Amino acid sequence: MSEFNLNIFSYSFIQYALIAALLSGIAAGIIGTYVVVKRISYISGGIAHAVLGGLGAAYFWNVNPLYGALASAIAAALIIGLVKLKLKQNEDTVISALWAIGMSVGIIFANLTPGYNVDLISFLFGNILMITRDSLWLLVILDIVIVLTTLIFYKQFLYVSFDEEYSMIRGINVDFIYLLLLSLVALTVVILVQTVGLILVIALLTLPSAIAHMFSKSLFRIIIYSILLVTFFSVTGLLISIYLNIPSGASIILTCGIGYISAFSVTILRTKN
Amino acid sequence: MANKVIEIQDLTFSFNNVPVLSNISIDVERNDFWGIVGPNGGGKTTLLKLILGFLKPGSGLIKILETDPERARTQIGYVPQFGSMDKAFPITVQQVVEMGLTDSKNFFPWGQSKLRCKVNEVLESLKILPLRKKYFGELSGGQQQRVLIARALISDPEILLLDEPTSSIDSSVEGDFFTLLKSLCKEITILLVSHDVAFISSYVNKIACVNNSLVCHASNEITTPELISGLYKDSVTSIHHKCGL
Ligand SMILES: Nc1ncnc2c1ncn2[C@@H]1O[C@H](COP(=O)(O)OP(=O)(O)OP(=O)(O)O)[C@@H](O)[C@H]1O
Ligand SMILES: [Mg+2]
Repeated sequence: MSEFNLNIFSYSFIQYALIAALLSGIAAGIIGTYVVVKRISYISGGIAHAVLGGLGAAYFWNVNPLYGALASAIAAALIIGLVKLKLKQNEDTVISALWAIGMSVGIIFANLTPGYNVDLISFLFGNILMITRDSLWLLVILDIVIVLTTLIFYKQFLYVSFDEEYSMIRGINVDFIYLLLLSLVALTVVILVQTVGLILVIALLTLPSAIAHMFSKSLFRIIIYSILLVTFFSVTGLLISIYLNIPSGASIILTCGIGYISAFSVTILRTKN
Repeated sequence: MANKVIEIQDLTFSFNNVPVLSNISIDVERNDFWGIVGPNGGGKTTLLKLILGFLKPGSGLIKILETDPERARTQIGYVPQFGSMDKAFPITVQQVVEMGLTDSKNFFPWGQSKLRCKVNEVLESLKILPLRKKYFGELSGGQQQRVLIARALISDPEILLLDEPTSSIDSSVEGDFFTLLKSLCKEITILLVSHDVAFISSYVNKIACVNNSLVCHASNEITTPELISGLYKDSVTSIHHKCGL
């Protein structure tokens, strides 16, 4: 057992997977916190699923699927955001429509693309062990964008999430901040699609931050705890998947889910005592 | 400096084709202290939101500090009736009050130590300094209301819009707060929505009754209970009660 333990870390694909776990921890920890406190998890789910359309199209035209994912995630974020801001329509309906349209487009493109596409399946369910050096660099860039943007706009994100009306009074461009936040959600989705897959993105985006929220009321601390938790769940889930030879994406999310239920039970027990 | 701080002419506003405000005209001058009264659903909150530019008038004109509401609103301090904020949000009292000082030049989370002094001052004046590090969601309704008043006062606004700011505040603090407002209106302009006509009439100098239309009175007119009843038409019971009649 211990021999195996040491050996696996010398494989480059394991090293890449661990780096990917850390990089997705940073993105999902930060953005997941905003998704939870601003209650936009349904929007985030819509963005994640719409990404399948972009992935399918990218395979069909034979471009790097990550660019397809990036383009469709940003497009979905902006469409949902603008519909909410400008039309003041029932956003749930728009999100559901985009969710379904994105997935249908993806399935049709996948069907039109010659040959059976294993990669497309791996984006549905994620495969952190197949991450390449090039994708890692893309993850690094996306992480830098996310971290810098949140640092620069920390106060605006805080104020707009707390109280949109008073943010407007203080001269903050609330619509811009909202669209910016949704775009960061889109970037995070693109990162997580590679590690846990688009179907499971929303779990890794919301559960760790929800756990962190149970134990702290400080936004900054929730972010830090979330980063640690996402990284911990990803690494633990990954190692379990290697030992048990089960799919890594599902293993990571299951670890995360068990963590959430445990944390939930602890808080219930604590309030009872 | 011009004296007209708020200028509203023939303003009409409807929610889904139901008229809420019709033909409103009012001129608010510098250092005025207006009390705004009227029955539930009369349109008082709607009027304040039009002044802030959150709602757009159906017809008519609104000028605030000689410009549009959207441009002028950074000069306004506002205490909402209920507030659109998420009460369970992870934010401290200190951060909520600092929000009142944010402007486009003051975005970054660093270099804020001189703000702290100002925050402490305002919190002290509302007797909530010990709550500074608490989370907003952990406070009682009245404490939250005081924090929101602090947020509105801290920017030294030209105009204060207060929508029933003391509805859950105990009477000792309420009295102090009104004395504070009275001294503030030597420099700024205040619009205060309240249901307690008898109480506010000793502080405000003008009263507007908003019930779809708007009728103005000087505050010294509002001395007789009959007049107070007249303002409210049929919803006067609470007023009678408070007047001890
Ligand atoms: N968002 C909305 N959509 C539709 N109608 C609304 C909306 N907000 C207010 N109204 C209607 O506009 C009218 C005026 O409401 P407003 O909140 O301005 O009253 P108010 O004078 O502030 O009452 P209160 O004393 O209860 O605070 C009411 O009849 C209300 O039903
Ligand atoms: Mg009201």
